[in-house]
Amino acid sequence: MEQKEVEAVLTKPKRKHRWMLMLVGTFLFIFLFIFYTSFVNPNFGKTITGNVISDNAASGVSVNANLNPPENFLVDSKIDKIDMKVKGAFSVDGKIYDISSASVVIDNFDGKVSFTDEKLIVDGKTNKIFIEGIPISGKIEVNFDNKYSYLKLSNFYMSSFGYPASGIVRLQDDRVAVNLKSEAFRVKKFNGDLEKRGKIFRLDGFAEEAQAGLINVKNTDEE
Amino acid sequence: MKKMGKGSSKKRLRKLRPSRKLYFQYYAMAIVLILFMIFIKYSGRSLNDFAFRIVLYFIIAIIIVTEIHRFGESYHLTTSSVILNTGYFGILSKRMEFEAISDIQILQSPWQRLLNFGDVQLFKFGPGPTMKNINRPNAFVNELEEIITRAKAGDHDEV
Repeated sequence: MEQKEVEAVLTKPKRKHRWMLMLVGTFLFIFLFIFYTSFVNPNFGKTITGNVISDNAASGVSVNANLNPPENFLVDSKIDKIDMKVKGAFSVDGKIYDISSASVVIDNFDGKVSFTDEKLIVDGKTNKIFIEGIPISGKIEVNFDNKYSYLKLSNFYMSSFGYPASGIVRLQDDRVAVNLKSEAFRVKKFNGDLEKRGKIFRLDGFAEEAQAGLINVKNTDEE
Repeated sequence: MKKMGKGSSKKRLRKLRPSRKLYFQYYAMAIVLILFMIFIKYSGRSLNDFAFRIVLYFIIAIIIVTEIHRFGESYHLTTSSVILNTGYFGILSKRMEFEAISDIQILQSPWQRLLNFGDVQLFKFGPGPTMKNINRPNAFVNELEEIITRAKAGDHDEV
């Protein structure tokens, strides 16, 4: 009797290999991403993390302004460091500190800072605060609504800011110097430091666009 | 030969799950990323927040997925049988009485030999169920043989 030969094709299931490939691909992607963001382009992706610092602003038009203070100012951003001298009681993590005058330093602040000539309002979160040099660490909520004599914000970002100002504005590494007399001063996508002491108001950093009176300098103008 | 009592035959001696060594390469990926981040931190370079979060999620995902995978299989040694459970919600439970076991075979790939884990296959005159990725399979088989010998001799009755 003739026997029929049956040919069967046996294939290995490839699912496990597919998973392994996907995992190795993900691992390589993450590894290269860390390498790129730490070694090649450290500023990459800061907008994703909420530290909203654009590449253009960091290497944009340099702004150094020494002006009269604006009537009011508001910024909602991550701020590397806030240095201030306040008067009266304030609240840190729900605890009231009733000190007549205190020197306060806040590291890694995330929240709102606003001020007028008289008052300073700081409302946000931080992980480290120094009150008269005494450190407090942890997840801390800070609320200040006080009179103040000094304020410095280090490394913060604001998308837009402007007011009619008087004083000296230096742009593009002192290549442009403008003496304003109640004329328009405006910066867009600014990243840098701010200092306010009495009638002194200083801005020092980089912006994508800066206007001082009739002079308007954009980051692209340099190229 | 003594016959084992009904109550004592149900007594569980040991519970096993597949060895975590099976996931060595996944853990190695996580460790490499952690070491790389530590190197970046100590070399004074900035570590991107987003990259840090991705690494964190990746490591958490690896731990969760491997543990879930591991929970899909469990092996129980009782005084009279080996029980192999497979599945998460619906469970397939295979029971093999010691009396029926004729041979035990250890299967190890080079990788498994290197990390000292492997599959233990039970024989009932023909190939039976396999206990996959058992840690230190030789020691386990010795222990299993001892239990089987004692069970066949009816020692567990006296326990």
